Amino acid sequence: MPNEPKQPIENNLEGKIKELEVQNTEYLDGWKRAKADLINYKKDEAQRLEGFAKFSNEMIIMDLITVLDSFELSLSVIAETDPARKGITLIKSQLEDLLKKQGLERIQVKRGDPLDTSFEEAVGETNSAEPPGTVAEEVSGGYRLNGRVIRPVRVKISKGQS
Amino acid sequence: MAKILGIDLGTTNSAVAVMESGEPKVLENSEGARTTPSIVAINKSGERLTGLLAKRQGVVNPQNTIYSVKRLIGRKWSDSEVQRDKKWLPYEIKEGATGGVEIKMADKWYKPEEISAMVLQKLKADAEAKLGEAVTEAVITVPAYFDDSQRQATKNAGEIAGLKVDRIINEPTAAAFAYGLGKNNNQKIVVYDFGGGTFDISVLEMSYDAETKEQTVEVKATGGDTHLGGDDFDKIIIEYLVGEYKKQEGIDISKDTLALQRLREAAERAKHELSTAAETEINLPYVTSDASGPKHFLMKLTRAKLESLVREYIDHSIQLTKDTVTSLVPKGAGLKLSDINEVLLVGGQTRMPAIQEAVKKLFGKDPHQGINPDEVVAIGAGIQGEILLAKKEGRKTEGEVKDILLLDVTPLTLSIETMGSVATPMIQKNTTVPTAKTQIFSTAADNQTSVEIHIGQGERPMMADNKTLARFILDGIPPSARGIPQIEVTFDIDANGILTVSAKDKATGKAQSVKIEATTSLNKDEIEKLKKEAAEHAAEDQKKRELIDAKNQAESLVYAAEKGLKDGGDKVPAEIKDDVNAKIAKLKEVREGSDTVAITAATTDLSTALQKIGEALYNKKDDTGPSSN
Repeated sequence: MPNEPKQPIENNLEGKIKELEVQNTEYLDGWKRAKADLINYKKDEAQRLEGFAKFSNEMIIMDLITVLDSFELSLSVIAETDPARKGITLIKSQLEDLLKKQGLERIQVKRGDPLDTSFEEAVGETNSAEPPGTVAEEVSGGYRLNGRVIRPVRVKISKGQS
Repeated sequence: MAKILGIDLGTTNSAVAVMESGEPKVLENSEGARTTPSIVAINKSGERLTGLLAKRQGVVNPQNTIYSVKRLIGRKWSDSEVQRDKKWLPYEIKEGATGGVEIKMADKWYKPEEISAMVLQKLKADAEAKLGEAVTEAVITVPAYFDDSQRQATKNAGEIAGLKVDRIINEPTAAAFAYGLGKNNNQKIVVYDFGGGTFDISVLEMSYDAETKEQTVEVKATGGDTHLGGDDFDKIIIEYLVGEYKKQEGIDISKDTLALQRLREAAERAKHELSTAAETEINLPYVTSDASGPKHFLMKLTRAKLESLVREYIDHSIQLTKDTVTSLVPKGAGLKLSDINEVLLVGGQTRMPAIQEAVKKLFGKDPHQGINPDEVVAIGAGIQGEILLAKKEGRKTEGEVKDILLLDVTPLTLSIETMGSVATPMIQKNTTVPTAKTQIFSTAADNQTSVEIHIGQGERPMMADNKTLARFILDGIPPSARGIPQIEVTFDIDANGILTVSAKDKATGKAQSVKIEATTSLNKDEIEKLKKEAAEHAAEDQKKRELIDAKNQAESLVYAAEKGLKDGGDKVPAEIKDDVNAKIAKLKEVREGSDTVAITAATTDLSTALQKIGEALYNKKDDTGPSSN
């Protein structure tokens, strides 16, 4: 069609250019984002792997702590004079040394200190000479693995003397 | 703009998720855990504790340790639920000035939303520490049955904690988002949520308007039991173990704090183990002692026993589910069980195989699994947060949130047909696109000048059982012995899911290619059907595959044998030649049949006979050549 005006084509072209410009910005933005995401992801991944390495043993260590509990309980009932006592004590410290190498550390608590739930868990109350509301006795040991509490110390809280 | 947090504010535990680099991610709290107990306390020294730290002192400070506040939020004092809960909650509650509930904690009265705000404040602070930036906005989930007042109170809790609550969404809807449901056509979804302390069942109808790109979610019915949860399971297991021990040893260990603590932990471990194992042993040395000395606890617990202990609870939950779906409106959704398209499992207790089986039996279909059931609601809220944030920033959502499950992975394996009609996988299912894979193939017959590239989609090992996508011929291969030409085949899927397959003869450089735009044109039902067929036919397919392998091996050996005889010529003694020929004939004969064992046996026979050709040739050499001795 020879008589058709030129205008609409130019308009179309301009429109097309605008559309492409918008698309261009969108793509560039998307590409930058993807690049930044990758860098961030790498950082996160490195951190996550580090954390993973540190705590990958956590499950098995948690299970071994229950074995340590059993050793402690057995020593608490075996007489000082029992010839088996020495052997069991040695096996227990063998296990303790092994876990220490993995980053496990026993949490120390003191009777008469106020309860600190960041590493202690109260499991009951008892009559005691310690001031009421403070730690009266340790029921089971608590542990940190590479600085993080993986099991709180279970304690009984003093109700004061009856 | 800072992220919008997705928060699952639960009755027992809460969780927080955000979208990061297109992936929903659950944020760990300051104690390194992915869920935070929804508990607040004021301890003896007047210090406020939240989460795990509050939980750890609950036993010795029950009046000032506030939990399950979600049961009270936004409710009227006269509400029957409140009157029921009043009886067992260990802390004091009273009627507030405006008819609501107030809670006493360390001599001060609080509204339930103030307590919830303290939990939210901790979640916010821990999330900020993890993200390294301030957060001011959130999406919070609530049960589908929450009324306006409960929703408003939850929103207020957010505002008190310094969070602008962009949206309150239903927990079951969040779970459906996390699984990427409701994108296509109308779907009826049941969400079975078995949490620590509550059991919720919701029936949703999701519809999607492709034109406006708007999704609507309608809650058709809700049901459940606000006092049934995983905690009941734990309790009944402990009661059983204590009872059994009393029968065996005559000792009641339920009064011994340490023994009970150890038993509780061992029972929880056993419960988890029995999700995968059929039997486990609970072994607690030196659990207690009597006049005769120390006593130990050693008991086997089977999955069957565990299931029989909690059977009543599971059956009750199934009955409630059935009622909620089938009862007439308004009590239920007024639907048939077969009307339900999708079933979702939420809550830690749904890890139990007996629950999964019971739900599957009820609906006759596998429930959705795969996302951690403790985190799925928070993840859905996090996705919603990203959608809202993207809208505010006027950009597209990260990681194609709308299609979180199905987009950008190939739903089925793409294969090429090789000798014996075998479908040789080129791109495995669930591979994220864009991706490309190249492999070298060759001809199956001597002087073959063309190869047919047959592209299929599906999980079955035989091409005939899969869906054909395209075929094309690459010709002009120079005549040569079978196995010599090198045909390089490349499967390439671009970001839009368009597959291009090209084949190139490395000798001549001649190439052919085809573009297939319909790799994901299968609808969901078709995909499911193909996957199901694959599973059903696995054994039969394996046999077919073995037969084809045997036949292929036989054919290669026949070819090698005939070539050996030809190459050896007169150097091969006549009796060996006859023997090999006989065995070739035999193998050719059985190869036509479908007895894998016979083909394998005949192949072995021929292979043994063939060795004699080699031996004869070498012996001849030894005869004619100089002796090494």
